[in-house]
Amino acid sequence: MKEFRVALRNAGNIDPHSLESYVAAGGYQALDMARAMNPETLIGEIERSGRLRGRGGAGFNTGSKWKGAFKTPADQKYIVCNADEGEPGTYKDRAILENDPHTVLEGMAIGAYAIGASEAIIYCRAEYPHVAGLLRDAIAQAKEKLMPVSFSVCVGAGAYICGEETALLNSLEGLRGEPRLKPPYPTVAGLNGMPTVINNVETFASIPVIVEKGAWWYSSIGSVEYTGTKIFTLSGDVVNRGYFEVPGNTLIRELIYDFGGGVADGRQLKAVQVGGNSGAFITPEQLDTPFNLDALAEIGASIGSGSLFVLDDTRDMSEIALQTTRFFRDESCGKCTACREGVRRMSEYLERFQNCCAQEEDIGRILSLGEYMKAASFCPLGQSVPVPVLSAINYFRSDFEQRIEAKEVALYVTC
Amino acid sequence: MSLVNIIIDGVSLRADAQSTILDAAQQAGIHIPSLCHHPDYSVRAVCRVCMVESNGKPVPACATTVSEGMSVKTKGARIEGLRKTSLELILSHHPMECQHCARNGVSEVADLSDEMCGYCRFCDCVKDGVCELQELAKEMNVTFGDFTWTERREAADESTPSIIKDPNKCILCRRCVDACGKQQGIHAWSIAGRGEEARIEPAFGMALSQSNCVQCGQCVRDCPTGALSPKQQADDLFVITDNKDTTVIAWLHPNFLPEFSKLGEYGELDITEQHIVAGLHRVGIDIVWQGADIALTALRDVMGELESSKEDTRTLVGYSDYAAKTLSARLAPEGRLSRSLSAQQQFGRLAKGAWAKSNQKDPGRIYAIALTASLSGKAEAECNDSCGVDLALTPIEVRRLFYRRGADLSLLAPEAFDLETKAASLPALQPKERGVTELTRNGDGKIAVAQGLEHAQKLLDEVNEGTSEYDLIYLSALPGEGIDIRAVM
Repeated sequence: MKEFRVALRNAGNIDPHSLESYVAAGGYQALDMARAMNPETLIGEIERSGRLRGRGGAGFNTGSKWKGAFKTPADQKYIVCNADEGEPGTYKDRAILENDPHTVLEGMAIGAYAIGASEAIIYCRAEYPHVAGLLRDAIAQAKEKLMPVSFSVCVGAGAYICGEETALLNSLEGLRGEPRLKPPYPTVAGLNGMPTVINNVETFASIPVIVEKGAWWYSSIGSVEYTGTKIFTLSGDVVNRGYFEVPGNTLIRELIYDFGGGVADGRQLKAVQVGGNSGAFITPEQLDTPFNLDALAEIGASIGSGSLFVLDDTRDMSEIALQTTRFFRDESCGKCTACREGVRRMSEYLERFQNCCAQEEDIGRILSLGEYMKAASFCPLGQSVPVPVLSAINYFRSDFEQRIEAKEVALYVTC
Repeated sequence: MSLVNIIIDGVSLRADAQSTILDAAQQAGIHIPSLCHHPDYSVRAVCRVCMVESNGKPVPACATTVSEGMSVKTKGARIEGLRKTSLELILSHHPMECQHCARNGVSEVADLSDEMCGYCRFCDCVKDGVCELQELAKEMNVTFGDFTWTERREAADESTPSIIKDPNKCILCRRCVDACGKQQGIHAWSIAGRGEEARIEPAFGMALSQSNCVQCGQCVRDCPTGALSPKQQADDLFVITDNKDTTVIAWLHPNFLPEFSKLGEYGELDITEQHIVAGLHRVGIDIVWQGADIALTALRDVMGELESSKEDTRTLVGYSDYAAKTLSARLAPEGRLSRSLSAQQQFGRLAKGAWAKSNQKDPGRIYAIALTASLSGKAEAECNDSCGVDLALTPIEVRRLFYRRGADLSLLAPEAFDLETKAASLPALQPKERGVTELTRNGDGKIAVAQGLEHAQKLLDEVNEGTSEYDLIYLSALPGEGIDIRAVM
């Protein structure tokens, strides 16, 4: 199988430090083409025919988002690029930005023209300092091309929650990194209360190609409801760990066995966590699911950031579930009771399975706490804490039950 | 105002399109339990107690605006389960002294009835009986459920003379942050740490006394639990009253009764100041003075000061309480701060001066106790310039004091003040509204009264910039706590 590169089209072919190199590869032509268009036509192109859906995880139609901001009258509008790639096992944004920063700038400039924004901000993850530097250089080089939009780079402070769009806005405003109440949505009242479009790096990187080659071309790739390509990142017990860009109708089996080269050390596949730390686990029987938003939603998973965390048959799912929950325990912002107290209790329950003090009832407690957190948490972080845990129990209940039995054995031995 | 049709628990209603589910339900007489919500502040939706089902989806009632055709369910196993779990999660991390009574061996909240608790109320939590969290736990019959109760052992902040912060009782509702920042413009409280380490504290983890807190008490007033409370000085009072050779004089500020009569079960009794006098006599206070005369004297002094500096065109800065004085001392230009004594200081001076002399008492054996709803009175009693006031007690403390000494106001007959106010009718307290009121005096003199410290800061800024058009600005930290200055105009 071969990759189909759209967002990563220039990766490895151009010098990321050089504007000339990007222009020689056809860069900034799409921006000129877009600026020759009427903003409404441009948005319509992306909304209707292109059906580009946000690549950050939520999968919201990019054109609709832009339309919302376009229609809100305001003196000042903003376009923000979410490059706070904090999801464990995900490095697609880094791959784009390291190899081709200008394509993101171009995509943002097109977006800025479409909605009438005069300011563009890239919120870059603090753990990617070299990317922030690269972006600043790129902005300085392309200043004339990007005019009249002023670009800047803002570096986060290492909080996972700031990848959530309203927490990101809070962080940009110098406030505590915490999600805001929605509505109002950012397209109506975002940064400094002004209409703001926030898109993922991968979304912006796809924009110039859509403008250049036309929406019909883009919509012919991938599946009907999830057009275009998606970058996925492989990690865990797999032979080739790395990033690949594929059309949205590629099967997960192909991703792992063709691109990934199969499970490492010739072992058997046990589970795959799709979409980052907050994603559900899927079983080997579900591998023939296409790698796109709707198909994954049908089996109770989500495409999320597009990462695949492969686990072989030596892994104990009760341990992996604890690991994911510990991550959230560290990263919960502490705003709402459901997440702050819930995630702590969840990880305490899961720790019992590791410490041989779990009881039969603890599985039920985890399930009911999980359902509570899904329903009552303030933002997607808290709502997704139980997702991997519940799917681990759902598909691999025996891993948990073994730990309860192990306790009885341990007691027997010590007596 | 446009109206929308909604259905709550099967009842069709018309509600203001701008209102939230919580407001709409309240107006229709449908009770939805809530905790972090406070009508004075913007919606935070952090406690997750007021969850309801809107069109089948669980949402917080306080943060969801009604829409046409919305169908809301406030009852049902699922939704009540969510609410209970929220509360259980909070309680599993909250001190349990109010739910485990050592004296009667009760450990389930369901068993704690008012009759049983009525014996003592010596429980260590100050807010026992007036705590919103405790009330919810009783209402929903919840303790910590299946969760393992986890003790918190963080040190309390006792750095100020009036406000005690007990972080172990904090539920992170953030009312105090809004009270201090948004409402008073002081910004002493902030949120630090993230996740389970999130906590409320002054900037950089400083002690409250090192922050720019002026001890106005707004945060204490709005705190739903015992996390922020007035410093308890009942024991200090007992040390004084239990001593035989002393004369203890209490002065009842006019703002005391309105706050006191709202507390717990007093809300159902028709409490008068004379009831409080009877109670105070029971707890060992010898003489009780009615407050209005002294409060009016303080106001007249400020007006007198204004009169005597008539040639001076600059603005005089007056204040009704110690918090406003502290803020003015920080912000007002040199020499413009009123030198008149506050009402509480007047009381101290009178009790240990003129009164002691005319009654041939040794001022050293007289103790002056101010009873006031304004928390900053405590700070004033502790400062160097207290003018002889030994203690200031707040309504919550006095309530607990009465319980400890067995003074049951529902049984006591009212008793007369030992020194009554001479005025025919008692002067009115300030209105409760925040803001700046402009008054005119003698035709041309202009006075501005600021209620709330944010408005006080605006007036002080004008004075500093030299743009103030007032002869006197009269500042009050908390609305409704001072005497209306119009009483002396």
